[in-house]
Amino acid sequence: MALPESVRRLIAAARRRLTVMWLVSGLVVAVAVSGAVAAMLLGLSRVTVILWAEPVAWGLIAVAAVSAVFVGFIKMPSPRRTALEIDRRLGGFDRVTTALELTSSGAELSVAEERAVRSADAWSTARRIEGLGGLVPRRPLPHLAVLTLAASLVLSLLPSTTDAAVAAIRADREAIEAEADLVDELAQDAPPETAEQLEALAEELRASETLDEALDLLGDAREQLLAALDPGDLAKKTALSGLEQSLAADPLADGATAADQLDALAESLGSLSRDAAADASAELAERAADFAGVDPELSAALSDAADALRILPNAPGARDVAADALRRAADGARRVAGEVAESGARAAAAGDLRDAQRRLDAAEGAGQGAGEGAGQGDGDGQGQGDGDGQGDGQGQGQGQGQGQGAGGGGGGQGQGGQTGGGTGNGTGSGQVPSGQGDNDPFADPTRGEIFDPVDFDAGDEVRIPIDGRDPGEFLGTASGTGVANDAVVPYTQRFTEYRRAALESLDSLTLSSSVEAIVRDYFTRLEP
Amino acid sequence: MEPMMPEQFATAIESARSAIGSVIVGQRQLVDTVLMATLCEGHVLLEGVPGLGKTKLLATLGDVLDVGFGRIQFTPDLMPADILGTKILEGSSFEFQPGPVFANLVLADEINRATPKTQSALLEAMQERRVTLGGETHDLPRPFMVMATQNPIEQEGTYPLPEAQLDRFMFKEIVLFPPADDLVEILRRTTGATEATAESALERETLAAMSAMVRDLPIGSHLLRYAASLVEATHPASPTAPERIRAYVRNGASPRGAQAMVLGGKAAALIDGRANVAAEDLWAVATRCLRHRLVLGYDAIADGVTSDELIADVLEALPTPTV
Repeated sequence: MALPESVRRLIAAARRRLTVMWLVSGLVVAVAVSGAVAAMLLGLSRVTVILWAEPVAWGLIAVAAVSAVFVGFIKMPSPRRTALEIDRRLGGFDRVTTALELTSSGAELSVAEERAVRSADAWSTARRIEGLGGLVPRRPLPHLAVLTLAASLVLSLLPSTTDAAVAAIRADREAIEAEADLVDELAQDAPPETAEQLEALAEELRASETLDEALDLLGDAREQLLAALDPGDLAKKTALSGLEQSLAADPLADGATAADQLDALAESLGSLSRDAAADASAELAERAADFAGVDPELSAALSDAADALRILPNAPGARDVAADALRRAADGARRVAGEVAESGARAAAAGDLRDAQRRLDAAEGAGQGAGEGAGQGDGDGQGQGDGDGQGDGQGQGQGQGQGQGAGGGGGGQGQGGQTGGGTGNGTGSGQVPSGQGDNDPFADPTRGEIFDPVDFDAGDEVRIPIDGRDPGEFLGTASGTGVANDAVVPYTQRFTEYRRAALESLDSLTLSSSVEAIVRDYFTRLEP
Repeated sequence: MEPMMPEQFATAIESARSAIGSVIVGQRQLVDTVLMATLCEGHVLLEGVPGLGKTKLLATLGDVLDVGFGRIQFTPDLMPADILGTKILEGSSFEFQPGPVFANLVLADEINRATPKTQSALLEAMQERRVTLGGETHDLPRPFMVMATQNPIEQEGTYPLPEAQLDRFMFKEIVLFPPADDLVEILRRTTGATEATAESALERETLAAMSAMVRDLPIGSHLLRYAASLVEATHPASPTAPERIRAYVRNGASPRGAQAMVLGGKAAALIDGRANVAAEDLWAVATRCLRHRLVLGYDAIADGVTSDELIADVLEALPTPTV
């Protein structure tokens, strides 16, 4: 016996209605509960800074509503469940449920069972599904849902005292994110080791909570980069450049990198003339001397190559030795070039991180309504001031500093103490200390630190007094008279030390970017 | 005999009710209980203080139903042979002399006044519907029903029924003191010149057909599961047991309790004129089926918690069947 049509229709209609009822009911409950939680969260965010309050609150409501609808659809009542609901809600006394079960079994029904199914048929004919209940749940749930939604909306739209703080924190987050993106970009162009450091820094920056934390991260990363700088990188670069240029001048070389040229020289040893070999040997010997204090390994390879080339015309068997030495030298040149590039990248990255620090500093100052000012004095000589102060976004400040000055000969050059006032755009004034000096390096202890080759004759010992005591530290022996004297300490070495000291000083001073740029440009122009 | 429709079934029961009502005033639930038990061929235990009409009700039922009626007055000196029968010497052999239990409707009056030994004599008869005596088994007539009355156990001179015997009663009803109006009507009927009597309302064949109809009535599997879950929830170790069941019940209802609920539910549905069992029918008979099957602990007695209250807890915890 099949399920009577009236029972089937009743179940189908009731199933649709129950689905809608439960869906709406679930939606209302979900919105009411999530709306209440959201309203509490938004209310709390009115008195306490909670950055994520709004997105979380509205996200919670949205997720709850969508989940309720989703669950409502997948939890659509089965026909048996529907039949049971009909019996319970419409007073069916389990007629529909029993009839559905009896007819769905497929077995032949007994007289009593057929009677039960007919009873369900007769009962279902007169039923109306409206008795299952209203589509919208009874009060107060719908009212509560509307109320919590309205409360959440009002709390989101009305301005509050925490809005400014939230905006400031968001601005900080955006600034940090922007710097992290820049660091990522730096990492793309950096050598692998530095790139790895920068990528890790970018991740840490994104995870940082505050500007201070981000600034600390930048400062730490910058210190690490500076600490990893090779003090001899400039000397290496200079020596490498000298090697490259000297080989380029050689007719046997092809003007490529030093390593490539050394390789090319090794390949062309068979066709090398006696004079060319001698020239190359002399050049390589000189370059070996350049690298002596910079990279002993490369220096040794160049020296070996020079020796082999020198005896090559008379001993053809030395060709293999020369070729081997030249290739070792080429490998060394490549290695040194790589080290120089890595060091240069670190220095550049450190500078970029410093800029990032400054930008974040500026963002922090703008957010707090206070800033820093820096002043620089520029007189006849050079002056530098250090200051801090308070001001608006542009910043005004006054600086005070102390320093020492030394003058030599008729002219004077000074750096040091000045009192300066400046504005945020970096202008200011300074006082230049005047100095007096004579030609005796030992007469004035403050002048003795400067090596003036004009003051020496050939054979004179060049010394620097320590604490004014004579004769002081021995630096070397003058090679000529007056301007004919060579430097006691190689310029490249001394220049590197000066530049490093200047860059480190920049870290410890509060200078504007424009002033820092001047210092960097100065050393760039002096770079050999 | 023509197959009876549920409506005709309800009409027949209504006529039996009316016949009983001509003697018994009020006590509608009590009357329905004994009628349902009769339809299910189940045994009933009526508990109440003396004088509330328990015996009168059962005697009237015997009159209304066209069945053999036997009455046993239980006393402390009643012996099992006084119930079951005995063998007596007739001529040269012993002949079995059936006791009063050999009747369709046995009224065991004040059953808790007999000793446990005598009470136990009814065990086999109630469950197996036969009597074994002297190595011989004698079948009891069908239908066979024991309608027992008992005084509350706090009365002096009573012996609590063994739990095994209690479990054999399909229903247990508590007979309450009648309301004032009913009491007035009782006085009017019983103090006049003539005593009210009941006419026979259900013939034996009709009763047999109705009993078969009860057994045939369909019941949904969800209701069978529901009855089982209700009984299961009376056990303190069950995860669905309410808190007070865990606290006060020592042993829950036996499977006979679920059988009684289903069978009683079928009878209740037909009495209501319906062609199938409903959850409402199970609710209607749950208390009278389960109250004597719960073994309460000392805490329940100390706190004055009754079986009826605990069954109400179970019904509240499991209010509707599920699919």
